[in-house]
Amino acid sequence: MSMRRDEALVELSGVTKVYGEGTGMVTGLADVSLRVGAGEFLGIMGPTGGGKTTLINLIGGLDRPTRGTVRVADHQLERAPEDVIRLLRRRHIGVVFQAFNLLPSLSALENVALPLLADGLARRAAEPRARAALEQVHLVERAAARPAELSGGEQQRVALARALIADPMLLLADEPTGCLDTRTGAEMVDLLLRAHRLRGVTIILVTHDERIATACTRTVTVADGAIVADRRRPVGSTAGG
Amino acid sequence: MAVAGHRAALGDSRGHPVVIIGYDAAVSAAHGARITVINGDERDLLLRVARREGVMVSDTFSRRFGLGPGDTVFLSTPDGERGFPILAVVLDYSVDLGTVVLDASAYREFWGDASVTSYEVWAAPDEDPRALRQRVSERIGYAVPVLTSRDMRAEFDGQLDHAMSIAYATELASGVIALFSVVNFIVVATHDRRREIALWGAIGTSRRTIERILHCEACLVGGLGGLFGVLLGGVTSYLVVRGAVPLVSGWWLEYRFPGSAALLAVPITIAVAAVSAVLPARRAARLPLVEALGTL
Repeated sequence: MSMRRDEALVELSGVTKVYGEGTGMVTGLADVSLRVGAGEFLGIMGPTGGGKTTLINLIGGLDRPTRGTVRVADHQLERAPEDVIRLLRRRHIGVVFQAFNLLPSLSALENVALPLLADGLARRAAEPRARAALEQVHLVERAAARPAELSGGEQQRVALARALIADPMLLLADEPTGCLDTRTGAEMVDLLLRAHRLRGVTIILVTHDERIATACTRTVTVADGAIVADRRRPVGSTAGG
Repeated sequence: MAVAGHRAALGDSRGHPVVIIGYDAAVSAAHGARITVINGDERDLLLRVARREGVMVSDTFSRRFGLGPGDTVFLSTPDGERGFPILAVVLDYSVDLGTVVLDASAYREFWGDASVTSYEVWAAPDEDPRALRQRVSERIGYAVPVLTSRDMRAEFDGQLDHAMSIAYATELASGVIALFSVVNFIVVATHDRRREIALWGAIGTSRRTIERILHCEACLVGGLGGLFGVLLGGVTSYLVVRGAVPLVSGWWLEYRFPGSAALLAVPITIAVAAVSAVLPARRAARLPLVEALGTL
């Protein structure tokens, strides 16, 4: 799957997401449109409950819009079969969650190898790649450790290695520093920037932290289910670059 | 056609009640006896009994009194106590007191009792056993039951089946309970692992792969359960047959491990687990990811 630099990798058009029914109905997003070009490092900001996570879930195909269209590369996610979306996620979209979401019974190495194993790769072939991915997040010496034996920062680095192992074109990170202290959070942002710079991966990151947002090439602010601000960093002033 | 008359009577061995069988050993040896001797040739031993070289005792008797081949059993006769060398031990589940089998002529001579408890009739090779049975019944009167060996086996089998019907019902009930337990286990296990299963989905694992993983796990649990059940059942049944039954009934039953049933048990439990996992696995593979991951 290839993309031209000027072509939008992600495009949302008139997207509305409603949760629940009847009197319990809650609008997560209302008529949102957004284009994200290939190679962008987009920060999604805004108050809690404003719709940031809903937006990232829809882009990742973890959820479907009530109305509107969501395109990622050449896939219209709102009408794509579930297994096509999963295939897209498996091969082209990496996801990092705030709560790490590592499997507690597996080692760091096995957790990182999961997407490759899910794609049918043999363990023997997946493990060297998982080891290389752990090396990139400076955690190869902790490969055999279980998540419970890792610090929060280390667990999030394992999650990042897992998200990057399939060499995705798009990385979605939902408050990846939310559970980390300032120093560990900064290390995490450095790793994300490195992945963005060296691999050219498009990153969409949800954050509350203004300092992290300064690392992004563009920020959008989502509040009350709508995009209320969209700012691009002037060329040549990319933080960390 | 050949006929043997046997006598069974309550006797006494040094103050302990035992059953004495006066057995027409010569005729039985000539036409095929229906007794099972532990460690020995039936025909040869029957001929030795017919020659009054000694007696055979039941395994129940042997265990009750601690006597076996080479020992002597002492029985009270109208003329006083008499010793009989034991030649062999036979399997006999008719009574739990223990039986002593001696030749019918010796019984008649020492106990002065010429009565007969049962006749054993061997049909000629070209004779229809049912027609013979009819003739015997007509001759001696219908008040005396006349059974062919096949009828007798069927009668015993029927009684055994009747006695075991409670066990079969228990077996069926435990099978149904096991089935529901497997379903319950898989439903609970998949529910407890909603977040993990959703994570598989979030990293792109196809629904089919998730179903396959859950199926494999269920089959593994079923297989291990079946294996454990076979091992536990084997040990328990051995303890029942060799421990509880002799203690309660005095019978020493032969223990046979039901190999074919045990071999079938594991694939059956795997199949039950696989079938039980179909719906839970299907449901688990279709979990709403956002809700299950708690990212809302």
